[in-house]
Amino acid sequence: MTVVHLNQQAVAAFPAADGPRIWAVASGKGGVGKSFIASSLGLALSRHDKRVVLVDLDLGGANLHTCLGIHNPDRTLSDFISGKHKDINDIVQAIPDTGLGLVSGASDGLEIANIKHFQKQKIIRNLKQIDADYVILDLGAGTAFNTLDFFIQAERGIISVLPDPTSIENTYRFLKCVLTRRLRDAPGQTRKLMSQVLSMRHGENRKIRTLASFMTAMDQLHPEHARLLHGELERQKLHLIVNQVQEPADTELGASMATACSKYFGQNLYYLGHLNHDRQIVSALKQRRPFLLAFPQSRASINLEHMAASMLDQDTQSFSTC
Amino acid sequence: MNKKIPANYYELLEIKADASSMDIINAYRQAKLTYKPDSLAAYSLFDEDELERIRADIEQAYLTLSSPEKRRAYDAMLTEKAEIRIAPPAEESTESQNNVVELSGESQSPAGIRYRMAVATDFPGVLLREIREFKGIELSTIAEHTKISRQYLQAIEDEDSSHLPEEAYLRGYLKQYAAEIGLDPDRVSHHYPPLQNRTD
Repeated sequence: MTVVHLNQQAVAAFPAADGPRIWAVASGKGGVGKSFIASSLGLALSRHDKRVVLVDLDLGGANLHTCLGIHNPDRTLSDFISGKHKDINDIVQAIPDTGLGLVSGASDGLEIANIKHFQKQKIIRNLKQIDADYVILDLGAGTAFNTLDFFIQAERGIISVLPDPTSIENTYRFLKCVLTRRLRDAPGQTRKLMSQVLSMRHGENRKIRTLASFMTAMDQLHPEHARLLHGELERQKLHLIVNQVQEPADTELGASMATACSKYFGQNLYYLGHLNHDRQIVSALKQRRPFLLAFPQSRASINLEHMAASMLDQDTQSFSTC
Repeated sequence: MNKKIPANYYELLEIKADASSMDIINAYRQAKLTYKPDSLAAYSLFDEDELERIRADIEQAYLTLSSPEKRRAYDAMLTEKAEIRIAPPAEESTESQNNVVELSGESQSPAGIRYRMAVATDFPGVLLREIREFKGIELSTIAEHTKISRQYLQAIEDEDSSHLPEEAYLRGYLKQYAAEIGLDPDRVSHHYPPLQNRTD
């Protein structure tokens, strides 16, 4: 059994006792660059001497390995789920020239998309056992429970959106699902009050329509329970990347989506920036090379480096203050 | 820390109370962009009618905050509101104000009181007074109708135990008072804190 040695010079900036920091990349709609973003952010982090492991949790649609230029990973997530490998670190595979580790979902069994509850729990439990500074989850598109449950494990959720109505609609749908899934974990008494508040009619006989007005109603009627819910909602920072921007006007989209989200959900959505449409991304894929290595000078590479650095900054700051 | 939906112009524009005129105009432009007709960013969250209402509120917010004079008056009004803690219902005459408040969480609009009345799990004196005042009913009118002394009615609203009558009387008075202000007498008498303490 090979134990993978990642970037040896890397020194953990925070105690490994807490386990790695987990980021998740997701989207409401497919084909918006999740794997590309996950692999690029991973590479960017590793350049800051962080030990990074990427985990392909797009179960049944895995192709993170392809974004990183790997053909046939010799160990995959299936080997861990099946119990062939007991330690999740044994299925982490080093990616040449990068210092990154990968838990691949390539050539997983055909039934992998429908893993059972206990298998999902096993994966979730073990993510924190991965020996790394950062674990980045590449999730499947859409709002399946598996996807949502992986997503809410992450300290930071990074959502990719394209500047078109279908993608935007699905992004908001995804956010609704994530936030509702979070609130579902509230204690029984709180949930009872929540459904009471939800079923009430108020103002012109309308029911509560937005999460923001729901939370305001909770704040007023049941402040103690509301505090609990706020805590639950704030456990995860949500980030937005607008990908494949072609029109100059679309550069404004991200900030506007953040504004609209704050009004509708009462939640901060941190806009990380946009990535321009770039044909070189496909050429890097065809060359089987990670984009950041193949085209380090491109605008997209520079933007991605910048996004990773800004999130890393936030992490360091929040670490030094605690 | 918690992002609330805007209860006032500052929150509507997502700016601080001490925002500079530059902050205000930038926030205004950002909001106009976000909620413009056919806005991509608002797609599937807000329909055209809602967008139109939001835009009207933004205009009103900007008109108020961009004029130093109007802003001062508005700030004074906010301070006053904060002091009474529970904001009085918006007046019919301030139409635009009504709009903002309505979209902002119903707490400060008449509708808000209506729904808080509908779901309240208890009826402390302050809430009773707020409802009565919202309905524009004078305490003396209630005293006249019910033949309950004004002093007792006042004590009910103040939860002033030294002036409240015996429990049995209190229950009866409370029910009559509740009926006068359009509340369910039993619900109020079962959920009036001083009475709950006594039965405990």
